[in-house]
Amino acid sequence: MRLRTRSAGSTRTTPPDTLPPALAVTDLTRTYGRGRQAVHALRGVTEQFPVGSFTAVMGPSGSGKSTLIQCAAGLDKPSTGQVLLGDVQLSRLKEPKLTRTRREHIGFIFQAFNLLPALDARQNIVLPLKLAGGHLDQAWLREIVQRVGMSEHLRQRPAELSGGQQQRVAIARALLARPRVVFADEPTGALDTQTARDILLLLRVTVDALQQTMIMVTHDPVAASYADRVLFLADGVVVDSMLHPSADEIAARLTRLER
Amino acid sequence: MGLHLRFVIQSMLHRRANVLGALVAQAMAVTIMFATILVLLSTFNGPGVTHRLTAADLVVRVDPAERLGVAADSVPIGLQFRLPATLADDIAQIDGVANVVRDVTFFAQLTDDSGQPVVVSDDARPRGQAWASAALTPFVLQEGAAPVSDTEVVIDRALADAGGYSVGDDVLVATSAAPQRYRISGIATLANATTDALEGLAATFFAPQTADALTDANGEVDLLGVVLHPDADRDGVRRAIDRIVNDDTIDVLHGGARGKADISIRVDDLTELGLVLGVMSGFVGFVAIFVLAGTFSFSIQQRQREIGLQRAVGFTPWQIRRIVIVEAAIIAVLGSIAGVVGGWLLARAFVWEAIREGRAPEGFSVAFHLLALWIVIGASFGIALLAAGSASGRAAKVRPIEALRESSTQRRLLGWRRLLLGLLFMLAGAAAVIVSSVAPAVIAVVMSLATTSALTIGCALLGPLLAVPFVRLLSPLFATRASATGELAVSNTRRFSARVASVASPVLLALGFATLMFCFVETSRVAAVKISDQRMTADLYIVPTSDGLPLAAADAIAALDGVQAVDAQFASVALFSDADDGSFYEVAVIGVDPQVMADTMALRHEAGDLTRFGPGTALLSDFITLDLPIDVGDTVEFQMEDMQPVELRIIGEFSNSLGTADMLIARDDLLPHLRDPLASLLLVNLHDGVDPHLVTERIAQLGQAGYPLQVLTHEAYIAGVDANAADSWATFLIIGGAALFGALAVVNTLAMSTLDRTREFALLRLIGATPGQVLAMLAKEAAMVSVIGVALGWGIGMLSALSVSLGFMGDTSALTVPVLPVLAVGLLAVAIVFTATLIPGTIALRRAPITEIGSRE
Repeated sequence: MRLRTRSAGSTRTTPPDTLPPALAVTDLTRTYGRGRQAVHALRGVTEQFPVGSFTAVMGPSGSGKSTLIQCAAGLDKPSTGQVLLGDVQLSRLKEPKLTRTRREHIGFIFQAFNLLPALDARQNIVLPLKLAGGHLDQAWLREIVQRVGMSEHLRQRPAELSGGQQQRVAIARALLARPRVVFADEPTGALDTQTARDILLLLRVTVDALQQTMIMVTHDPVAASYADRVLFLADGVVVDSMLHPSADEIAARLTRLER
Repeated sequence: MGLHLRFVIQSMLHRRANVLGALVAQAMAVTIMFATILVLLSTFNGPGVTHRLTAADLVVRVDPAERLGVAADSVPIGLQFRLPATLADDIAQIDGVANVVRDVTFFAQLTDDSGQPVVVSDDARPRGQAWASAALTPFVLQEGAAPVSDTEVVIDRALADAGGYSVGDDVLVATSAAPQRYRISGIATLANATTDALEGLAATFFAPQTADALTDANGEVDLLGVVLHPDADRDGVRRAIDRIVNDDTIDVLHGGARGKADISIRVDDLTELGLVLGVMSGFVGFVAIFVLAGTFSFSIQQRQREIGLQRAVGFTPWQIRRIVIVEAAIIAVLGSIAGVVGGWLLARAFVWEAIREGRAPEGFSVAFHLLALWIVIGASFGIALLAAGSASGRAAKVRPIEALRESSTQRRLLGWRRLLLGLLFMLAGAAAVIVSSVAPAVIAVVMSLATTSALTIGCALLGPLLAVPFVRLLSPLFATRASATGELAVSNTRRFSARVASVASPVLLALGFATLMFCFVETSRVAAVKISDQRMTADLYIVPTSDGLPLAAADAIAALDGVQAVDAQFASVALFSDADDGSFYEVAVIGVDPQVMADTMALRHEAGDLTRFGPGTALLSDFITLDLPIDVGDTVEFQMEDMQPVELRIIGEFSNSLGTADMLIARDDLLPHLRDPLASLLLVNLHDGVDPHLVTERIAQLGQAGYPLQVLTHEAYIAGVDANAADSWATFLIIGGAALFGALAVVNTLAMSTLDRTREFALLRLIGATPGQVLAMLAKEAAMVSVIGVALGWGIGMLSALSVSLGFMGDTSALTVPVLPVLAVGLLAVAIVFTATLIPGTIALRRAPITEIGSRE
């Protein structure tokens, strides 16, 4: 079953290496607890995420997906190793510098509860910028809002929006600060198939049109097939990666992984 | 059902903060209710110790509650019941009885040469008695001999030390007869106790015939003290006495129960304490229902998603209700257990404080009452199930999809039923203010509490609506262009006005009551002063420096040069029995001299003819005519303090009884019924042109003749009214208790509400808010909650105080707002709101944002 025509199947092409990567993690380990009870969530992950790339991270539960994302986004401190966001050593920063760096350079999209219920769509989109005390580029806001197709709904509150519309608002919010990386954690997990496809296409188009680096955690092979590259994690290490795979190939790989 | 229970418990463990909040509220409610009821029931037991009657193995006396057929807390203070002395002879015949003491006590105050009373301690009650009564304690002679002649007394060691007396000295003793000079024939001390126990007694012993003459007891005694042989069977003797007496209203006390009959212990304090606690328990019940209902509906409000999910997976509305109710029952059980333990400790702490404050007799202790346990557990379950039942009804109606929707905001401001109910309560509050302006003064007290309660419930119901204009008014202050946190706070407050109202309700409850407390005390003090100032028109005021003054003092003063007339006022109580249902009402009475009164007191005329007041007639306050089926012109039978009936024709009605009694009768009608007639106030009118200073000096000289008195000018007397009115321990206790409870509820609700928002805080953190910014937003929300709660609380408190002024004065002239205390409680409320928001906020921020934002709730 081929879901889209754009896919290059399993032909492996190398991403452009001319620019420094948007995000690079080196020898990342993360251990929770100590001694015999220690849980090794990450056992040494080294990976680069080039500018303008769309990466899907997959793996069974407990494989370290979430830990990788949390460490890469500066939400959790790695036990050893480095996180380099552009030219910033994220793993060395302390609060509140860390929060400042995060809100300037990292965007988030979650599965659910993305928006503050008390604010309308526009307020939700500009909130991170306001929290940062930054200047609002009206033209850029208009463009973003137009791209996500929410121009008509800016005054509506989350409760008045559909799930897909809420995700579009969340995407616009993530993009507004022109972040180096956008992390999407199961962004279509709570949506129906058609809406999910619309949102994935929106993400894909955004990556291509804006050269926006995006890292998406998902367990859905169809969703992952929209990415340029799929990383497979198991037991805290990257066990495989595929370039432009189809959904079927991903599903097959996953099945082997979980066996 | 078993499956249900497990499901409920799992669900409760999952929502720990939410359940804990309800549990804390329940435990608090039970704690306060249990403590109040426990102390109340303990007051019925009496003080539980005796000093004066230690040596009497058994004490026979009339049980006033039984005699009147009422509950122990309904016995009017001041009623005296006596026994026929002849019973003593029959009891003395019983095997094992060594001695039966016929005990009668009366006012006997030693005064020094300058006329000042000899005081052992502030709590001491100076009592005279026959020397035979010494065997009850027992007092034994330390020096000298027992009193034999009419002019001999024995005084106790404490009195001798306080006055510097020794055997052979002459002392002046004031009684209800004219003061008399006696010779100290001996000094007595306790045979087997420390001198501490002497302090409450201040005992003066007279020769038998002198004591008889001073008491005029007509062959009756206050009590019979029975001393047994060492080997006697106490219970056997007790049963024998019961058989001889053959009267259910006479009881035979032993052990700690003897304290009920111990005059040296201020048993009246206990009765008063019981009265206060009775009011308080009702009041605490109201606040408990208010807080619990609020907590439960809040907890349900927080569970919309879970309930939606349950509905979605096929739970019927009835099953949801059952889950909520089972949960409420579990919370009631756990809360009751914690509350009973807490209440027991609180009761003990309270009694300790009451004793320290002199509001309860030394030695009084809390006893465990099973009845209190049943009452509290019943109430606790009732309230919890009622609150949960009504809240679950609403919850069960939730449509599954609606509750499950992402980031659901509240659907509408108010349901029409809540709106209607809220408006009704607001109207009732307004009505209470209006009623108090036309109703008699005493009602004003009740009305002010009714105003507070009705307005508080009204404000809580209409809260989401009332919050809107406040937020609109405040938003320009917070939501500036530059401030993201201000904008967030304003949006949150505006969008979730129901939550804001839930949080502001306990604030306004606590503050409303606290404000009322201060304003009430001040306003009624000012009213009492103003009314007394207008009513009292005498030239000089003579107040006793001990329990009272004998009528002889009035005669002595009337005989002085320059004095035109003296009105000696005697305070007492009378009972009015309602023929319809056999219940009785207690009326405070003063006996006055009708002829003189016209010049010394200006009563505000309401009905009838006040000028025709004389022997055989009575003047009533408008409160009594409102409360009882009595009208001007009726002839009514009252029972006086000695339980003898008196027929009086009601000749007139006056208003504004604050500071005086509700019934005025001629002194000559009252005095024959008083056991120990002592005037509480002498009003003196002078001849025209007489210098009051001159007369004051002449009267002061009477003090040296043994009358314990003090002469006051009009201004000084009014200032004294001021001081008396300011003694408002009970008010502080009742209203302060409610305010404190409210404050605890504020903390609880705020903590619940803040901890519930962890997901929201996590989201804010993830999109770039620093922890400081989240706290800044919370602080600004807290500021708005504070403004709403404080403004409404102050408003309610002051409106209620207004009804006090309207009630007492008929106008607003007495309304007094003590600015500093009211400001202070306002600030305290703000401090509590901020603390109870920011500390849970900090705790909520500690969780890793990404785990909070995950798909699970």
